[in-house]
Order: sequence, then C-alpha cells, then structure tokens
Amino acid sequence: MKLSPVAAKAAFSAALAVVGVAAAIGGWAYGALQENGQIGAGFLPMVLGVALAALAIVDVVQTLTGREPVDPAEELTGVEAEAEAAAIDTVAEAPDTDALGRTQRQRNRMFVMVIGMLFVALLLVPVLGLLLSLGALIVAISTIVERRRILPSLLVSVIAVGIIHLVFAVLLGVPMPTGLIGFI
Amino acid sequence: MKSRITAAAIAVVSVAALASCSSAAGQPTSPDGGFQPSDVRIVVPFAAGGGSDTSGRAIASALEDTTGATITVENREGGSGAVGYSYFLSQEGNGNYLLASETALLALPLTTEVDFDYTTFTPIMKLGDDYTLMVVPADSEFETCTDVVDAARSDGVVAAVSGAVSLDEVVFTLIEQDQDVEFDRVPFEGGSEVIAGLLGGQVEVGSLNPSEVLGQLESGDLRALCALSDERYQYEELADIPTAIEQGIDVSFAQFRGFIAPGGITDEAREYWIAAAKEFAESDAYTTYIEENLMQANAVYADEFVDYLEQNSADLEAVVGK
Amino acid sequence: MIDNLILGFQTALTLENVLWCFVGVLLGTVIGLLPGLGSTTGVAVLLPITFTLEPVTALIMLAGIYYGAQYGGTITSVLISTPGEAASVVTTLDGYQMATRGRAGAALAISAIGSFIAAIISLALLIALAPPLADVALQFGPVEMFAIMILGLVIVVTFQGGAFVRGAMMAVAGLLVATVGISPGTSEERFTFGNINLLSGIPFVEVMIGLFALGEVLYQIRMGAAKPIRARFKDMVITRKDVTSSMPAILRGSGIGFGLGILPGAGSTLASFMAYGIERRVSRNRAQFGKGAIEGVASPESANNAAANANFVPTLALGIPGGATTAVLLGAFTIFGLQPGPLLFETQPDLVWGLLVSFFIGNVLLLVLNLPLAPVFAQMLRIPYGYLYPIIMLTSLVGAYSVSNNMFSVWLVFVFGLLGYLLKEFDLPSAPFVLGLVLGPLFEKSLVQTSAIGQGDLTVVFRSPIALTVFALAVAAVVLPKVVAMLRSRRRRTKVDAS
Repeated sequence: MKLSPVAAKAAFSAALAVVGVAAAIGGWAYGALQENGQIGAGFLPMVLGVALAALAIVDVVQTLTGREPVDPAEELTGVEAEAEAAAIDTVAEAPDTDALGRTQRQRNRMFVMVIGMLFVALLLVPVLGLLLSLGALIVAISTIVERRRILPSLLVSVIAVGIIHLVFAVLLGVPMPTGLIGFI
Repeated sequence: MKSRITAAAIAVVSVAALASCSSAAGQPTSPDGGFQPSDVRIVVPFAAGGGSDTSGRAIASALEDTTGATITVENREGGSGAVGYSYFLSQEGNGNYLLASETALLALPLTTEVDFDYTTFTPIMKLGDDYTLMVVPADSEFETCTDVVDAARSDGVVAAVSGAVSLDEVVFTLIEQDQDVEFDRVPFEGGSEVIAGLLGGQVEVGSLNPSEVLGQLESGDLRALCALSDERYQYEELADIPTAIEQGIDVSFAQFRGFIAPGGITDEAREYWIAAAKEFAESDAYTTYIEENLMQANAVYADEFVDYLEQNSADLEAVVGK
Repeated sequence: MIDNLILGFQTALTLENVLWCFVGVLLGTVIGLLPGLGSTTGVAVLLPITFTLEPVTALIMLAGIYYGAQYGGTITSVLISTPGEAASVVTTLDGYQMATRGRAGAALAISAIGSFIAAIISLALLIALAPPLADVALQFGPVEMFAIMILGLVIVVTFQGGAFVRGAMMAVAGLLVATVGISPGTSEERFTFGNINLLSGIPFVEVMIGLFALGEVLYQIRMGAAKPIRARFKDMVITRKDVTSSMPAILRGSGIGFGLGILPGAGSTLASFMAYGIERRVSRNRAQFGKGAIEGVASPESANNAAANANFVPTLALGIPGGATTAVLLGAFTIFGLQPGPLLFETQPDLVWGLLVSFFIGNVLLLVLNLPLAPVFAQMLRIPYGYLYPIIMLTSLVGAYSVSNNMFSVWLVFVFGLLGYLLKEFDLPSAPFVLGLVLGPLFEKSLVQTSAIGQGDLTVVFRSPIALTVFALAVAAVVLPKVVAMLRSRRRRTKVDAS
C-alpha cells in the first residue's frame, strides 16, 4: 500500500477522529452526569471526544484542500510568512541521499529494522534481563543497521551498559529485571 | 535440520537450568534448616516521599538493625497501590520480600478488579493506627462535631473528601449513617489540598490525620472539633480534643499501617519475620516512628492482625460496598 | 527583614553547607541528565543520602539537588531533545533547534543565566512578600483554578506555529489521554481495559521520553544522517548580544513564573508553557521562534525556575506543598522532625532563612559550574549520530523503567516513540499534547470540584471575580492578536493609498 504524503497525513487525522468518536461513545457509556446532576466520570471523555473528532475532521479537510493554515504570530509581522513557508518546504522534502550517501529507500529499511529490533529486544527482556537485552540491541543496531565493525560495537555496548548498570542499579538501587539469566 | 533441533534442545535445557538456579538462589536456607533472610526487598506500593514510603523506610531500617540483613526499599507505585500489591502477588512463596501495607490492601479488593485480598498474603505486623480529626477554619461558627451534624441536618455542610475509598470519605459516610444526615462533598486529592480548601474557605469541614494538620492547628489557622477515635490522644498537643463518641457521635475509624509477606511462604520464614517484628516493636525506632507521625501505638501480629483485617474489611464494605 | 537575611546567610554560608550544596548541585545535574529522572525523582532518590546530615545542611543539599536536576533536564532537552520533566518540554522547541544550528553552548548558557536572574527576582519577592502572597494564593480555589487551566490551554493552543487547528487537536488529544484511569471524584475506572497498570493513568514521563527521545531518534533515522555539527567555538560561547536580547524574555518569564508558581498545584509546567506562548507573541524576535530563537529558551527556563522558587510560598508560609518536588521536600522536613506549617517561620527561623538563602547559593554554584561547562557539554553533539542514537535508546528505556520499576513503562515508551515519530512526520506539534496530558488530571479535578461546589451548576464560575478576570484574559488572548493584525493591515493599506 502506498500513500502520498498528503493522503497519509489525512489518514492519520482521520484515525484521530475515529478515536475521538470512540472516546465520546465510551464517555457516554460511563455517564456524563451523576444522579445528583454533578459532573460524572464520562463528561470529560465525551466532550473531549467530540472536540477531537471535530478538530480532526477540520484538519482532514484543510489537508486535502491544501489550505496551509496561517500562524497567528506571523499574522502580526506578515512579512516573514513567506520565508516560513519556504522553510517548511525544504524540511518536509528530505534530500535523496544523506551525509553518508544513503538513499531514502535504504533509510526506510533501516527505520523498519530498528523498530523491529527494538520490539524483539523488549520481548527478550524476560529472558535476558533489561540491560543485557538492550546491550545486545546496541550491538545489533551498530553492526547490522549502521554496518560498523563488530569489535568497536561490542566495546561501545559493554561500556554503555556498564555505566548505566553502575548508575541505575548500583548507585540508585533500581531493581532491574534480570530475566532468567539473573546476571545484571 | 537436525542441528537446529539439537540447538533448540540445548537452549531449552539451559534456560530451564538457569531458571532452576535462579529460583533456588531466591530461597536460601541456613545450615540448620531454619530461615535466614538475604537481600530482602520491601515493596512500597506508593511513590517515594509519601506516608507509605516513610513507614516503609522506617520498617526497613529497623528490621535491618534487628536482623542484620540488607533491606532495600522498592517503590512500585501506580493504580492507588494496585500495581505494587499485584507485583507482590508475583513473589508468592518468596520469604525475602515484604510490603509496607495500609488500608489500600482492604479498599482495593472492594472497589476495583484486582486479583488479591488480604487473605492472599501473609500478614505479619500492624504497627499502629492513624485516626482522623474533624477540623474547621479558625473563624468557623462550629464549636463541636455535634454543631456540624446539626448544621448538616438543617442548612447543609460542605465537606472535603479525598477520593471514594479514602479514610475521610469513610469517616463522613459513617457519621452520615450514624446520625442520618447528609454532607455535600467536594472531592480533593490528599490532605494538603484539603487544608488549602479549608483555609481558602472553599469547604467548611475536613477530616485529617493529626500529622497532616498539626502545623495549622498549632498556628491557630485551623481548629480541631473532635477526634474520630476510640479514646482521646495521649499526645500533649492533642489531649484536649474530645472524641466524637464523647459528643454523642458513635464513630471511630482508623487507617492502619503495617507490613505483610507474600502468600505461601514457609512457616520458618513466617515465624522469623514475626519474631523480628516483635523485636522492632520494643525498639526506640518504633516509638520514634509512632510519635513523629502522631499515631496510636497498637502493634498486633500474625493471626491477631488477620482478625483485625477481617473486622476492618467488613466495616469498610458496609461503607463502600454498593 | 534584614536581620533575617543576615541570619540566613550566616546559616547557609558555612564551608560545610556550601560544600554539600555543591555536591547536591553536581549529583542533581547528573541525575537530571538521565532521561526520566527529573527533579522530583532526583530529590526522592537522593533523600536517604542526606539523612546523616544536620537538618539545615540536608535541606540545603536537597535544594542543590533540586536545581541541579532541573538544569540536567535542560541539558538533555537542548542536546538530544529529551526533556527531563514536563517543565522543560517547551525548552526543546527552540533549544534543540539551536543545537542543530551549532549553538547548543549558547542555549545552555542562557538557560543558566536566565534561571539565575529568575532566582534572584523570585527570591527577593519570596522574602519580601511570602505571607501576604500566600493569602492571595488561598483565594484561588477550585473555581479559579479551573479558569487558570482554561487560560493556559488557550495560550498554548494559540501559540503553536502554523496551525491553530492542529495545536488544539493535539492539546485535546492530550487531555483525552489523561482521562485514562480512575476518575477524580467518582473513582470509576475508565478506558483501562482491565489493565491494572492503567489505573493511575498514563504517566507523562514515559510519554515524554517516547515522544521526544525515541520519536526523534526514529525520525532522524528516517530522514538520514545530517552532516555532523561543525560548530566553531565562537558559536558555542554566548555573546553579549545574546544576553541583552534575551533580557526582556527573562524578566517577563520570571514574572509569569513567579505569579503561577505561588498557586498550589499549578506549578512550573504551566508557567513555562505560558511564558513561551506569551513571548512568542510579544518578542521582537518572534518570527524566529521555533527555529532556534534564544529568547525561546530564555523565557521558559527563567519561568520554570521562578515558579520552582515561588512554589515555596505556600510550602513555607502555609505548609502546603506547591508542587510535586516541594511535596517531597516537605516530607523531608518531617523526617528531620520538623513540623511544616505556618509556624515554621517563627519556630525555625534559621532553618527557613538558611534554606531561602541556599536557593540563592545553589543558583550561583549552578552558574559558576555550568557557564564554563556549557560548551563542553555541547561537544557531545560531535559524536556521530550512528553511535549516539543506540545509546540514547538504552538510557531512555532504562530511565523509563526506573520511574516506577515496571516493564510496562518501557512498553509505553515504545508505543509513544512510534507515535512521536508519526507526529513529526505529519507535522503535528507534540508540546500541546504533553501539556494536555499534564494538565488533564488537574483540569478534570477542578471541573469536578467546581461542579460539586455549585451542586451541579457550573455557572458558579461567573460568581467569582478572579475567575471572571482570568476568563477575560483568555478571551483577550484569542481576540487581541486578530484585532491588532487587522488594525496593522488597515494602517498599511492606508499608507499604500496615501503614497
């Protein structure tokens, strides 16, 4: 599935609108008012849900019709508005290759890999423990994603985990989940 | 293919071995078979700095002195205590864990969907009781708690409460049931907010622990009308405050503070902690803790503590049970 | 008055006290550098260290930890866009932009200077006016606080660059997320789906770490490595021009911060957001806001420091903590056998005045320590991002875990990290979301209390003169800029016509 940036943006706001409607229904179910007429548990979720849905729908419309809203601060000065708009354009369109010569496609793959690895690392915490699992994550990211050599990556990971262990577990006495290994 | 199965088998075996190692390490026994604590953790189900934390730390340092073991305080806050107690549930059978307990142990099972109640754990010691005082601003027209009840009957009285299962909510509900009146409630969070509400004139009466309100009582900004306790306080500063019972309102309700062990611990471990608790009650640290927090010293142990919890839970259910 | 001040200096300025204050500032800064550990946690975790000291020395050290931790949070806000606490969220907006332009050193220096000036101003006000101000603060009951929340939200929503609708949408989303958990007043469970970790709501520290730290990391990976920042030393050091142009922002920030700080519970978060929002409107350099304006760092940083000091007005004069950290400090008072309350000024004058003066000393030490160190900290940005971001992930996830010793926090960071990335991708501001989340519980509580005071009738708010004034300010905040803009464009048109 490929979405244009505008469509993706609109889809996200539309999703927020759905969340808003769901919250409003949930709020209604909790009861907006108590029996004595005072504010009940559902009042705020209901009001906020409706407000979120309404604002999100306005945003969807503005995004799709390409109406870039105006910054009130810029209204005052007026002159800089165009400079601002130009600045936004250059930020939104990232250059095709970055400082290390990676293309957007490569970077997208890195992005997905980092999220996937992080997810796996968190799933492994009950087995390896928090620090070992995140230490392994550092090694995995540096070698596989960032393609650095294994030895320096290991070194960075060991030093970082060591310092964090010292500060959090030893100095501050945070009870780290050590997993089945029970090491640190 | 074969090698993969072998690898998986090795992994399973080693994980199992590690698991058995770590669980064996969790419950060391001394040479003569008795219980010897090591690396003890005391869970505080509330944030650092609060009343539960203070009592948890007092218990920890006193038990360190009596047992010689290292005792670390673990704050596991969240869900009005539900997170900490639920975490404690996962330590079943581990004699090296304790929890600094209070009324949430009884209130949570009555009001929220949690997997525990007081029978799930092993109660060790109740340190003492913390009653409340009914307080009003200095310039209030009320002189006694009876005045407050009378006014509630005729014109209505705005009372501050801090949450549906809080101690002051329970106290006001008990007064309502005893006197057949009704208070208008404004919900606050915690004692200091109630004090601000009283001083700012947004509410007329509040019900607070003595330690929360002593500063304002001594400065004369607030006045105590009655103590919602069985007997008058022994403390010099509070001895002049009559009890509600003296004023014809048959209500007294205390919050308890104590500590419990997980369910399913060995008898040796249970006996060990009860002995340590009794030693703690004899120490200066215990007296200091009770006096600094203006509580009523009332230490009970083990089965007696369970009886107390049963009674207190029934009282509480009469108030919050719908 | 002068006697008291002298007494305070005599108490605080012993070699031992200054030394412990220094240790406190240093430890606090280190704690504040760790994601998830702000000044409240900093004071709480280091509290036991102080138990062996004399009460005065211990409190002075705690004040040092407090300031140090706040400043440590500022450092991470500027360098890696990870605020240590909600009060420094707005600092990331311009601070991080300054860092990406090689001016991290100046950003760090101006926040130390701004905090210092704010501390002096608020200390003077605190010493001169604490008891009468405390009486004013008491007049702000639930009804008035409800009005203040509305004003805060309005200002924050309207300051968001680009889009009113998007700012409002995110603030509402934040408020909505804050309704998860046990409802105030009625104590019912809402949107918890049977998960006990959600009973006390979605904690903002984890959300902040996710949205800002992890979200920024993911965004950077997707956007690609920028050229390493090649900052010249000249750019790292703050210039005289930086200081003079920030001065009005610092003064306004101090005023706003002090005013909001004396109200119990409103605290420094609202102060920093409001100061930034107002500065964005009135600053001469307003066009640069959001793009690395030094005033955008100076203003919220002086505001949150002034608010932190003003927090002590209700704490010392009434014995009511003004915020989370002062609540922990009050707890410390009782541990040292001191009864906090209105009589503290009379019964323990050396302690109270010593403490007040130590705020001053703490800020001086902070300035002395950090002005030379700011460019050094800023050197951290020379590390290539490829090495830096896995370490940022490690520290923020462990930091999140340590907030409540619960893996649930770590998963929350993961989820909000993804969300933070999406918000950046779709150009939605995350600062109003955090403010909504932080204010949500206070907002709902004051709403429920107002409704209880009016016995279901919300129009009681119109019977409070203070609330009415605050509402008028909120309306003015929306309407005034539009009117001014209209007048200006008309004048410009008439000028064009005339020529």
